[in-house]
Amino acid sequence: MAVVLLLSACAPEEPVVRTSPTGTVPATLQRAGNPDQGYRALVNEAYISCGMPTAAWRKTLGPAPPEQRLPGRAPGNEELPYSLTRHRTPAGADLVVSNCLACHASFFNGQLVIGLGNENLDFTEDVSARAEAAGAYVEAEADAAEWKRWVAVLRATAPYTTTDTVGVNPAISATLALLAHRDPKTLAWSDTPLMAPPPPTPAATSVPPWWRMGKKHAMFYNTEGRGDQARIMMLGALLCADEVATVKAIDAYAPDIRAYVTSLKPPRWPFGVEVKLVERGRTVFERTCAACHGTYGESPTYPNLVVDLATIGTDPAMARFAAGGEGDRFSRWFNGSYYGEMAESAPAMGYIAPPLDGVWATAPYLHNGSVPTLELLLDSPRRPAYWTRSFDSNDYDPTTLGWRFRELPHGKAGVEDREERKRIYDTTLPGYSNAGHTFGDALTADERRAVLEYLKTL
Amino acid sequence: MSQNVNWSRHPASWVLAAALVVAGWVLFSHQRPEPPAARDDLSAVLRAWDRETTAGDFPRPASERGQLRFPREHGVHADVPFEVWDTVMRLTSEQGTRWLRVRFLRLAAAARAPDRGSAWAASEFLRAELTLVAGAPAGSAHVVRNSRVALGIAGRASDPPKLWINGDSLAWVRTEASGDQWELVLHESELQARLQLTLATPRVTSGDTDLPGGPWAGYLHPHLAVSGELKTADGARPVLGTGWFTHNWGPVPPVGGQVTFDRWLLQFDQGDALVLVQTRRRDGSAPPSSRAVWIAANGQIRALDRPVAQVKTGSRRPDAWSLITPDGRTRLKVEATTESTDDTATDQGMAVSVRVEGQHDGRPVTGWGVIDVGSP
Ligand code: HEC
Ligand code: HEC
Repeated sequence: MAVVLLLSACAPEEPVVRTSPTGTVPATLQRAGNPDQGYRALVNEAYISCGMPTAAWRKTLGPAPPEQRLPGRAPGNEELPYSLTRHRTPAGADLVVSNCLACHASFFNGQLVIGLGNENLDFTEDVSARAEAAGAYVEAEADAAEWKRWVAVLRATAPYTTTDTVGVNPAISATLALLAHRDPKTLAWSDTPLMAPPPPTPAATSVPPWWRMGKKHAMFYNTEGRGDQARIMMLGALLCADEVATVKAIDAYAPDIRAYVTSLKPPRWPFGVEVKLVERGRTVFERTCAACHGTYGESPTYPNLVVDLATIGTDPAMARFAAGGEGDRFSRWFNGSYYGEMAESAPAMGYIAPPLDGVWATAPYLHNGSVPTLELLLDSPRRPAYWTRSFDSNDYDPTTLGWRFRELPHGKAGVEDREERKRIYDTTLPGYSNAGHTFGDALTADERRAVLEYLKTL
Repeated sequence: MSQNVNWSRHPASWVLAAALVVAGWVLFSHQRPEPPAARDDLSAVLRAWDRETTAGDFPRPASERGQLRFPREHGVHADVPFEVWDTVMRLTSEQGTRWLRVRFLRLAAAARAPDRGSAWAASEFLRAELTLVAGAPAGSAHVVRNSRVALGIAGRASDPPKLWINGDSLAWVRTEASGDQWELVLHESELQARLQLTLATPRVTSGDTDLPGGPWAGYLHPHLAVSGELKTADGARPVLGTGWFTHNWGPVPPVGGQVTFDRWLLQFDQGDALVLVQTRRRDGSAPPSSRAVWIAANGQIRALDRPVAQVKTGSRRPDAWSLITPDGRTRLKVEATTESTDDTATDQGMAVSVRVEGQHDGRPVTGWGVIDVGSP
């Protein structure tokens, strides 16, 4: 008995990996924060602490056009686009670094909407080659050291950040690749992975809007982000943080950023609605959809419901990877790190039914962005297997509620021209399926039109 | 969530290196080049120019994004400070094969006071570089002419496009409205020529490819037909040939920095062509990275999958290279031709004429080309 105790006392502590059940996600206590201070931190602080030397940025990308600038930023940020932040390091390097808005802000109808996921980003190119080439403009010694550090991370993670389709976001596999290259206890960087990295080609992922977080009890499509959300939101710091102290300093203002994120409201539908139709739509919605997605209006309700894969029927790859055992090493890393002290990675084998506030603005639909319009989300037999779109944020169709698209007779196979190929959404590829969520199929055409009208008002 | 910079504001382009290697301008020169006189040291010129034109004088050029339009683009892009027209020709006569490279460079300042005391006080400056390398005994030449743009001395016109220096002694003129027929007139004491150039299809524009780039725009003709007359110390003779033409414009290219660029331009007997750009760290702290595109005879462009280009022999002055792709589709052996075995290296880089043979997509390929090796 004593021997057994001794052995277990000496065995290295393996952080536990739990999966979450499907069904209701319970609320957890969140740290309070100040949304105004959160906004200032979001657009001025260097929580992603490595990037391109400012001198090189000036020569290659250069000052942003006025519509891409944000008012009221800290000095030094005036010429930067909303997605970049100026950062002067203690060693004297002068950098521009990315911020959360690179993915979490986007134009809609000519207006920059903070919190709207950017579904038009092109990650099909290995950016590390460009980052390396930008070295031609790096001269100062402190800048050169930072440039090398940044390029090393981009190079090591390139296979996991390069997608094959425009609009597909590689954030998940990029994050997993970073975990593979960092020690969970010290966060020290290793040029060679310390555990098996994720599969190279990122699975299709769409960027969810931030304003859902006011209602959600867990983060991410598979609700893997449980516990203290402020800390989980600072996962992006892992791109550059080489020690725990760096993340601790960021964690001090993270609750303010979370407070800002949860305070966001969706934009208002800009095109007008048919009031009678809206009322009919509400009735149909409350009968057919509300059990999963909640109710809206004066006193909204939201059930925080994770739906199992058999019921939802959408592409299972993302949920299966995280909760089916393959992703355990990443959850273990998270749970054994500084992040795991207040939060937990506990994925569910299913997807959460999201709040539908402002959903008309968040096309393409489903967690993998496989359905171009809301009309087709509610009419699954008509969804295109192969389609392309302009990736222009002004190309919105207010009738179908989504991006104007062109159905194609073929997928990516056989298309040699890479410009053409990368713009094809091919639902026959693994992770890209547009199946499932058939709850709108049984509606009559009139009912469907009414529900769409109602969704415009959320 | 992790992070990436969104570079999509800038079209991918192979022209960055094309512009950069301008800093390594010594080409196939037979004799050891004379120590560069102040006016001939291009790095110094670019550095000085860059300091003076970074103050935001230039609006973002309209041509930076979107489609290029021809024949308009052959002409001058007055909205940018730097522009280069570069022709590499391989000319054959009964006496053998010669290489001729003719490069015109334009540097401009948008709002510069004409009475600034610097050597380059003129608001626009043209430079022409001619380099002739003989395969056979004699007749090499290397000529550099700098001139500010001024009435009767040097200038440029857009319609029809034309560049000239020293009156008409050095000129590059469009001779046909479609834009694809050009005449090159060279009237220097060392070298005289009148050459008709036909820019053959396909034409590849900077938006078409995925090579590391920056804010440069431009285009390239991987095939060129040349005919005319060449006159050197050992006489005049008719010549026929093939070649490359590139034309790029944008900001003044950097001359210092952490990395340098090599550019390969290869032309295959089968009608295909290849452009490769390799980024190398000056301190060797990371392995070089290469991008390459294969341009089929019909103009179709395909990026090679993770090409690995390596110097095989000659570390300071490379003279043999290999290029392979992990998918096995491309495997090339590249060697310097005898024409360029002389000492052409300077601290500004060098250009090497090469022969190439190997396999691409299961068939044998052979060809020739030029490798511009960036400054060390
Ligand atoms: C490279 C793009 C990218 C960047 C940069 C990025 N995110 Fe995300 N973010 C995503 C993607 C993609 C998801 C969806 C992942 C999932 O649900 O599995 C996401 C999900 C989220 C969510 C959960 C939303 C929900 O409905 O569950 C929050 C909150 C969030 N990000 C906050 C942030 C913050 C704060 C930052 C900056 C520190 C940031 N993100 C930076 C791409 C990005
Ligand atoms: C059984 C529960 C359930 C029912 C009933 C249901 N949904 Fe959903 N819905 C979900 C889940 C789960 C998702 C996320 C699926 C995914 O991303 O793979 C979802 C996704 C959506 C989305 C996409 C959100 C986005 O931004 O990608 C919309 C829109 C939507 N549902 C609308 C409706 C409407 C309208 C109805 C009624 C006609 C309805 N849903 C009925 C569970 C349900």
